[in-house]
Amino acid sequence: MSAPKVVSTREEKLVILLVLSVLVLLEIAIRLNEDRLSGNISHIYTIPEIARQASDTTSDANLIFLGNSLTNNAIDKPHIETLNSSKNSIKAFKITPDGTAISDWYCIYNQYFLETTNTSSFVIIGFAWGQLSDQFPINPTRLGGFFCQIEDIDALEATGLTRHQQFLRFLAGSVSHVYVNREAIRNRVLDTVVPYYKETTQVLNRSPQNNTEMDGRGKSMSTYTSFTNLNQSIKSSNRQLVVMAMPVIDNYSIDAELLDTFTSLGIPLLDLRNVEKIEKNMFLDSIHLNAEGSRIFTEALVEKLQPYISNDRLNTLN
Amino acid sequence: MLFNSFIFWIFFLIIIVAYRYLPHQGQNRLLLAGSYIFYGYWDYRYLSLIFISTIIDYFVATGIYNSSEQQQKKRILLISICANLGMLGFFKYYNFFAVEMSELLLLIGLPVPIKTLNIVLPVGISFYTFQTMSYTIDVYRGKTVPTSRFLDFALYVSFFPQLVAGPIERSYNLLPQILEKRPQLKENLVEGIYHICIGMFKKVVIADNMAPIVNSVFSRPVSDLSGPEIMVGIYAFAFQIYGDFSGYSSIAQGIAKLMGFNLSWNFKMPYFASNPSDFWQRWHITLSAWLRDYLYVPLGGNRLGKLLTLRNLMLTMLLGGLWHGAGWTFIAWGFYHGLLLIAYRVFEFKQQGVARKLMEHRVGKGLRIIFFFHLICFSWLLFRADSIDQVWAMMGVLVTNFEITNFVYYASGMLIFFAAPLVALEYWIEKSGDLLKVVNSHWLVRASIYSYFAVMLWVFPPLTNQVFIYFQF
Repeated sequence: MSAPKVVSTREEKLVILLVLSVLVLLEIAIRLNEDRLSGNISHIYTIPEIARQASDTTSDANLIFLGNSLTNNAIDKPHIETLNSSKNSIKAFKITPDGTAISDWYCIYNQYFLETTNTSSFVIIGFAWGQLSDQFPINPTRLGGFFCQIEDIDALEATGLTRHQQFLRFLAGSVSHVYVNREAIRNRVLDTVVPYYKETTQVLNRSPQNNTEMDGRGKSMSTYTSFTNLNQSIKSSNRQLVVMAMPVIDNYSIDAELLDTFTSLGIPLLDLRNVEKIEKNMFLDSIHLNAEGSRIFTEALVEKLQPYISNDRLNTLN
Repeated sequence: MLFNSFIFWIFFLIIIVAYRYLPHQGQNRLLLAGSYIFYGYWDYRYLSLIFISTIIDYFVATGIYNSSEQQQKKRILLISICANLGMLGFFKYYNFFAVEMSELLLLIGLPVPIKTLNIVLPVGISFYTFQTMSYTIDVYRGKTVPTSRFLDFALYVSFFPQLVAGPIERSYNLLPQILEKRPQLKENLVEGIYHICIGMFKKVVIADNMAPIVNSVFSRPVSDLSGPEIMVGIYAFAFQIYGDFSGYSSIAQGIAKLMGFNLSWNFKMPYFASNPSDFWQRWHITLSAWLRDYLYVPLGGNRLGKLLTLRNLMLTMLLGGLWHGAGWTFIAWGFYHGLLLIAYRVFEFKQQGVARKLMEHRVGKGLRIIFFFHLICFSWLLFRADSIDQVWAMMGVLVTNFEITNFVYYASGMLIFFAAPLVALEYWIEKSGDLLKVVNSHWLVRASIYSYFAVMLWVFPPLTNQVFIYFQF
């Protein structure tokens, strides 16, 4: 082994400059092509437009669906707009970025809906397991990069976002689009070069050891501060919050504390965990509905929603 | 605090900035306080163990040095050995031996339940107890003069870059660097950055991306696996453990270097070893050297004839296995490495003439490296398996089920994508014979390698942070 040769400061500066240049070029390239990285990111970039439409539309009832891929797969948007037995005109809007939960939904609502009011709007949140609890794992990078402003952090304290490590990831996400999109970039690259990448990753993600989507279920001592804050925001913009428990193959229970929270805040719960006609073969995997399941789910949802979207109900809200 | 966390780098930034503006003694106080904060951030209660170890070994070393009688020196040394091994034994091995003893007594018809304790293994206890013990033993042997500066000795015990996972530093290497003023050289910066970059790359990009593959293979029922799936899981673990542990050592070396300290090399391209003896001069070098100097040599080393040399090798490796963890798989791992060393000794004695020439030829050496890598991989099966039963079951599947599934293609693709560039880089370094080849190459080459590391670190970290494997030892 030899000792390092005597290096010149100029050389080391050039090394650092070149490394930084590569990172900056990568950042620029990603920023220019971000919406093409994945369908999910493309959807995230349409959220402001969806929110604008939802606020401007003057139908009898605007249903703003807030959720993740469970809700996205379960709601048949065109179908829901034809299913209005009470002859009210209904418009549906889906904001359902993958892998999101209560902290993301809180920020999305505050960023895009808080300043607008639309008294005929319902915000319908689809959830499963512990996705409404503060203890559900958060993705601070995504929160910082896509959904939250720095002023939202206090309201999400209960989720652990203010802890050093999480907060620093939040900051990294808000600064670098490469960092916030790393999962999408990684998937694109590895899907190209690694055989069976997508299929095997999906299997690995579903295994109990690596599952993040289902983390947080069954945890004791759940709290619902972020959810309560979100309800407060929705109320302050004159909208009505409705929650729906989503179906998955392996059923789950709803925390008693959460049920008490719904009752005390006057939030209707549409329990759709066991829709009669939905069979196991209507799931693409263990949690996402296929097209047929989606159609049946949507019909069941509208039926359950009828009491809330009738004219009488709208009048009481007004 | 983990080296692969943002919080550590903010902590280190504060330390290094303050460090530059302090005089020598101020630097040492800062590092001591920083080291206790670093460790206490994980669990402040266990700081007391480091403190107790520090006090005992400080006074024991002084006592040995001031004592004129050999028997008295020995008695004082025993205090240090008993205290350090006692702490290690209690926290690391008590439950293991309690359970095994209970089962043994039950076997001979004495159902005596021995209570197990709900205790957490203090991070890094195996490393700092070995480090402090080496100090008192070296003072006893007259290789080290004890320091009278308690706070500087406390820094030697708790120096944060290598506190929780090594390298295990000898007092005659690290202590003088603490006691004397450290020059701030431009070369330190260049070399320090290199160690940190490659260490982070090995840990975050290689080790942590191999973890889901390894976990998938070792957590599934063996009946659900095919032989090639197990094989690729073992390959992935070989790179996971190497990336994890050598990555930690490199980062430790790098951050110490930025402060002017030279820590020992703990890894030197171990998968290019062509025999067991070569391997232990490249893998966890500071532990191998420790075991050699404080166990193998006192047992008689190779001075007592062939048979006793082989016995000493086996005992050393068995205890080396036990050092890694309280479990039969670790003991089996040590036993297997003992067998490899013994077989190599025997084989080496008999190897002459044409056979020796063939082995030394370039092709022969390449084949030996590949063959020996697979022998090492088998040892990783013992190391990673949850139980000896799992080892047997996996070995059975390895030789009976040859189905190449989609998982095998996937895992092989991931291995090539993440680990192959590292193997290529290490081959280049190995061939050059210069461990600092990257640092000593043209700045454009260096910048290209660092850019690759930076992009991989920024874009390809694992989706969840993994802790360092060696923290549990």
